[in-house]
Amino acid sequence: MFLWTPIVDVKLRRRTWLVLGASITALFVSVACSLLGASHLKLLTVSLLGGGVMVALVMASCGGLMVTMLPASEQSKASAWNQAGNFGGGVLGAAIVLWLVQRLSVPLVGLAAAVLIALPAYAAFTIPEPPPIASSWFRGRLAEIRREGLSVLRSPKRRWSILLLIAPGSTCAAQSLLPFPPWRRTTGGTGVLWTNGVAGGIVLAVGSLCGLLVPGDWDHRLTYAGAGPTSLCHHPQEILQQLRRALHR
Amino acid sequence: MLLLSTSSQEGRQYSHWIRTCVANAWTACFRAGVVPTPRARNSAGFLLSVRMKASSGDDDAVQPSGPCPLPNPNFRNTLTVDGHIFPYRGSFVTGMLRSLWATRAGGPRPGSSVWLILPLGIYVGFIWTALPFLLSRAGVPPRADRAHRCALTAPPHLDVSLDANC
Repeated sequence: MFLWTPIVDVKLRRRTWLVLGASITALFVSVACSLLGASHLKLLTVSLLGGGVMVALVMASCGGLMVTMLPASEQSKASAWNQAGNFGGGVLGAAIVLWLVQRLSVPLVGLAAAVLIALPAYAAFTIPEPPPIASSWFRGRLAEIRREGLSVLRSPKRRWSILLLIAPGSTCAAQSLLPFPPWRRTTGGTGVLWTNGVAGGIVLAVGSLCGLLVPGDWDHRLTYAGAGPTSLCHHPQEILQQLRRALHR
Repeated sequence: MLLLSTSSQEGRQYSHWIRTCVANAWTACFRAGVVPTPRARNSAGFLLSVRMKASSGDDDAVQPSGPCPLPNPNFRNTLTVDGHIFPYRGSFVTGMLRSLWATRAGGPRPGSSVWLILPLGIYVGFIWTALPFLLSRAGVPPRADRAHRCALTAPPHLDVSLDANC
């Protein structure tokens, strides 16, 4: 991803890249929905992969906008909102799609999903972002990325903090498993809509917004370390169930 | 009657809530250009017991680029509208709602990132939650579903799915 996302720093404003990325992703999703089925599996995978490649631009340009346009004291709040939109909005969006699936045809559902993806991005045009500095497309870009990466690795202060990135990484891996338990328990579409969609979305959004309660001037090491045990508190039931299942096998 | 029947503390809370609602409505009018004159602004300031500060006209002249030059506004007690700082007391919820407005003079609000990141969130939610359901309805075998879901996990979040079945 770091190979193509730096493109959001050149030629166009980040807000333009954001809208472009979201619009093309929406197009890919719409196309993918019309290809659903065993006969078009490869085409479907390619179109969704294309959507994934383009949606990475959304993440990069959104992060860039927040860092460059907001003062440091407000970036922690922006980060909390970012997580709320990413997790909560995403799960609620999926719930809306599942709700539509039961009422509309699949191509229409794809169109609705595309609108859901593209529409919020246009809020970016309300941000008075200055034009980008004139620069070349890719010349020297990879060398610059390599230099920055090496400087982080060589910095004694930052070297060990890279290890902290493992925690969000494993969190994401666990999150991708979230849809599986309901399917394994043969819960129908309505069950998934309510458990993974509405309830999950609200809980994730509220949990993310808890970050707003933490003042920006607190020691971030403390708040980061505190987030681990806090999130662990919510999982004992699931862990116990899995252990019970493993013991019964 | 409601206000009279409650304790003084609750009355203050209702009063504060009404003031916050009026402030939000006023801000919406102000942004829409419904009340553009200085006299009207001052009357609103009297109504809301707010003070105005630093009116320099053009927003671009106030902030051509970079982060907002205004004092870091604590969203719990400050409302910034088109370069004016309105200090007034607001609750946590109203503060969050104000934070959702996309922009203010000189830059975005922290809450605007919730709109900007939604395309990514909805896309990932679509892939992780809605797509398996759609594929199962379309008769795609679960093994193929897992395989291509693993291929799709990497680009948005750059995390490799640890599912052993991949």
